This record gives sequence, C-alpha cells and structure tokens, in this order.
Amino acid sequence: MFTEIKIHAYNGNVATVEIDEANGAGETLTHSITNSNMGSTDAVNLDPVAYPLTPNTRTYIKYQKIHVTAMGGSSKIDNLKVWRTGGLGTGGTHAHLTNARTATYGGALVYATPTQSAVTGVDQTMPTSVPATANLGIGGSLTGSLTATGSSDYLGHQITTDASATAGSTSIMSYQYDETA
Amino acid sequence: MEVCSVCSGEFATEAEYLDHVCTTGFTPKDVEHQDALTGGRFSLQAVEAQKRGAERVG
Repeated sequence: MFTEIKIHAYNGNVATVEIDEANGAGETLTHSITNSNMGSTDAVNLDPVAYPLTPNTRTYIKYQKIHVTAMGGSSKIDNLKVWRTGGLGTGGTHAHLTNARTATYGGALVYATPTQSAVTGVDQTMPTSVPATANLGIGGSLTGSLTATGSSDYLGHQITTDASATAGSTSIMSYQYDETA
Repeated sequence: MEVCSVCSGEFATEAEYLDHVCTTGFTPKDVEHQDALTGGRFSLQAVEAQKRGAERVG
C-alpha cells in the first residue's frame, strides 16, 4: 500500500516538524521519512511493490512519531491528530488499526521490534477524517504538550487484510498539531 | 542509532542529528531545510496556519 504523508500545522507559527519512524530490533530511528508505505517487511520508506502483502495477513506495524526539531519562537505544540484519507483497496474487507484514539488513550505505546502479528493496544480503527479532538499523546497523555524540541508518543498502525484482498491501494496519512506563538 | 533519511547520515544522539548540516545546506532545525524537502510548501503551510490561528483567536 502506497501511503503519502501530509503534516499540518493547524494554527501557528514556524516550529519545524518532521515525521520519524523506528525500525528493527535496535529501534533505529529514521528522521524525516518521506512516505508511510505499508507492506511485508519492516523498513522505512519501503517499496510496497517489492514487498507486497499476502492476502489474509497483516502489514508490519509502523512505529512513527511527530518530531519537533525546533520551536522557532513558538511556546507550545499540542493537540496532535492523525488520520488517513483514501481507501484501503478492493477485493475484501480490510482494517487500518492504530493505538491513536480520542478517549481512553492507552498511554505511550512502547516500541517493540515491528511484527506482522497483532500488537496489544493497536486495535482502534484509524480515523478517515480529522478527529474532533487529539488522538495521539505527548508524554503518554492526550493533553500533553511540547515546549521544546521533542517528540510525540509513538503512533502505531497496521493494516489487516482478508483472503479476498487484491493488490494495490494509495492513501494519505495526515499528522496535525496546534502551535501556540 | 538515529538516521537522517535525506543524507543517510548516522548519529548516536538526537542532538547530533539536529546539529548536522544536511545536504540541503541547513540543519533539521532550520525552516529552510523543511522548505528544501517540500519545495517550499512548509513555509506556505505556516502562513496558512497562522491565518487560521488568527481567525481562531478573533
């Protein structure tokens, strides 16, 4: 599945922000990823054509976070929202699961070597439009904020497919934050 | 380990990553770096975000 990335400053100034992704047993953190392609390998910016998903399996989970590299004179970053637009493909019933949620947030997702198996806490349906309230935390809380360089909690997300899945889909992952001058 | 996806540089710490001068000619802390990676859209987005922020606070 090809997945592009969009970063939205909903209101704000000039903080510099990027999306990072962790991979491997050693939690190698790659900064400023350029896509969120999902497939059958644990790799950043992966080629889904080279690593397609077998029907009735899950993609490798993605562990990503919003990283504020500089505040740029702003005082606060908060109200993190993530969602996907675009379908998950045809030929079956698929689900895009995540730990992101607007209520009963489970705290900061703990990194573990990415897997194609189900991951505890990554069981919410990814929103397909901007959520009304924050759904990704900072410091384990949806009301958390950053006042200096730092990162959000990990966003975990994974796609499940059934036996009728057919190859290929393209969608967009959006990551939004509020910035206070 | 931390890796810059732009220049493939490897760093032991976040601070080292943030301070490195990338192939864009800037560090990841610089708006110019983000603009170089997005064809200038990062700054344009900031302008639009500021407008929304101004509308929000009236």
